[in-house]
Amino acid sequence: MGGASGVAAETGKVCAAPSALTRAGFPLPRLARSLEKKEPTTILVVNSATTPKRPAMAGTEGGKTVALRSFPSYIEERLRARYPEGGVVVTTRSQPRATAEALLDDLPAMLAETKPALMIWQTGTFDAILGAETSIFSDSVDTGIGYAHDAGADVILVSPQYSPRTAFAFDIGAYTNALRWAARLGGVPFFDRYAIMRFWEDEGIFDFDTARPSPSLFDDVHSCIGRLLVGMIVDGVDLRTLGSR
Amino acid sequence: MEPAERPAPPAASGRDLRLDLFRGLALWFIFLNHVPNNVGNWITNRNFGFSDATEIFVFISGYTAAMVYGRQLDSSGVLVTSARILRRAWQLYVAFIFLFVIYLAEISYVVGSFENPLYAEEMGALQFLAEPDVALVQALLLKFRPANMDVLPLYIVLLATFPPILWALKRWADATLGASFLLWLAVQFLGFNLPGYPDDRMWFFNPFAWQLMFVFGGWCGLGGSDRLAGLVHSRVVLALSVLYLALSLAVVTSWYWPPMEGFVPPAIGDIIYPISKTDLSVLRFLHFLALAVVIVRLIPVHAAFLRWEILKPLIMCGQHSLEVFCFGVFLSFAAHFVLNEVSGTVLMQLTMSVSGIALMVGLSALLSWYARAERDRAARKRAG
Repeated sequence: MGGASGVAAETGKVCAAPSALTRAGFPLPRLARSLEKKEPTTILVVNSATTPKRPAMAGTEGGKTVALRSFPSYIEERLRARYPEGGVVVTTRSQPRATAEALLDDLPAMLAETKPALMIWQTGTFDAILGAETSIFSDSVDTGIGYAHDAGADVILVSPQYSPRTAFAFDIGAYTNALRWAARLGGVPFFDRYAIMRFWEDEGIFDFDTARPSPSLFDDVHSCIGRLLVGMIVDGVDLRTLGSR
Repeated sequence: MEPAERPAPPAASGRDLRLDLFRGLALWFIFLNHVPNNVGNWITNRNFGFSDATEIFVFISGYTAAMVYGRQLDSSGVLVTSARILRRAWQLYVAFIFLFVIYLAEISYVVGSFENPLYAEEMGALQFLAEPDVALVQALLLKFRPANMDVLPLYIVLLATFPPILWALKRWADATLGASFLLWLAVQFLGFNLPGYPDDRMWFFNPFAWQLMFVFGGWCGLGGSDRLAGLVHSRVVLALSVLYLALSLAVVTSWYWPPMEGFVPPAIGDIIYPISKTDLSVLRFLHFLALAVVIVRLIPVHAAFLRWEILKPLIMCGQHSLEVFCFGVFLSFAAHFVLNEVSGTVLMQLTMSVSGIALMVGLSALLSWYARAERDRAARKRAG
């Protein structure tokens, strides 16, 4: 896994997941080309997260003093280490409370503005909360993948988180299934965050349902997700380079 | 309590025990499925085919409602029977509100006690309690339906609209079933549904689609199933059903079992996915029919083993479906609470599953005992 040295020491946690969950499965040719050309490579992260704030104590990263560090920033750091000449820049566009369908209105503009070589698209959480129709959800994801490809960007889909405390109020399963299928159909890698977090919980690596989570839980989880995502990205880039398509 | 949908005492049996047996099983499965992150729900039928316990529950409810109220229609007239059906719907509504209060209590507890920046978005979604005036009114209007309670509003609407449908079913059975089918078909193409809350969510179980399951159950309950007997006992139909069940099993396992992952070719997947539960996808409906054909073949109505003691708990649960269903929803909340607050180990998940079912059986036994006691008392009164 690229650029991953020293992570264990940093987080004090084991960051691992079964390889079936972390392989790319599909190549990332557009990203690979952009990295090869050694010109600035933009990676666009689209998500629905409401960036949680924490009292200043944790905020030591760069200029972001209050926001917690979520996985996109870890991706940038690791990819820069892995591809020092690729000029990797990670841009995040957050649309809280937006279904996949609602996001489609803004997606072309986002793509035109940021011109990414890779779009990491985390979606489904708000769709599950709303109980949006799965057929509309998967059609929207299909369309979104098409938009990204047309704009010259590869796509990695990221599923919602595993959230045991709120599982009784909304069911993520149908949306994760729809994403898995949309990814296969669109020929893009699928980062099944739900399954990975479930694995961590089952293995006792993290505890997601305790009422008093450890102060570093957020950072540990996001840094590990960032690390595994980078592993998937590298895998996808290598698939293209090896010409195994 | 309500005499309708109550079976005659088990001894006098013109009743098809298979109905109670499978409704009881559906209730157990619904309970297991409603406990999130529970290994216990791996045994439920949703993991082995397109349809799940909901289809069984709605179909059998339609079947028994038509059978019981249909008989009353003949003896007591349209007006009295309709009033009885509506009283039943009212009981369900009250049960829904009762469960909703428990649900609110659990949400309030989670929101109040759980602070984890990792789940800012998920917890934010539970903040509708910040405006209880709206949330409560929406619940009274059946628009706010927490995930696990979806079946209940559907059942309420189906029952509340049942009097005219029952009347029509008695008069023009086939035409009514045809109309019901057309309405379902229209939903498949036009996609209309009842609005929900919050935001622009829709009913999880679209009543315009699911009514087909209920009316079809009613049609069978009023004698339609006898007319289908020829079809059900044809070898061709049986073979097709078994084939369809096997295919469906293969497709469903490909969703969670990696070796099967590539089973569905993209061209086919593009056509069949996603299999809508909301609108009762045709694949689900067919799967239920195939399942019914096979079960009817495997278990004849007078099968001796239906009277085995070991099946009695299931049958008893099926005979008190409303109470057991509501209790099951309550128990699934409780189990979820324990799994999060105390321990979520596999052993605990199994313990919760087994003890939940034991409690459901306990309740149904209590209700059976009470009904028997009341009957005896009434009989003594008449005699004396």
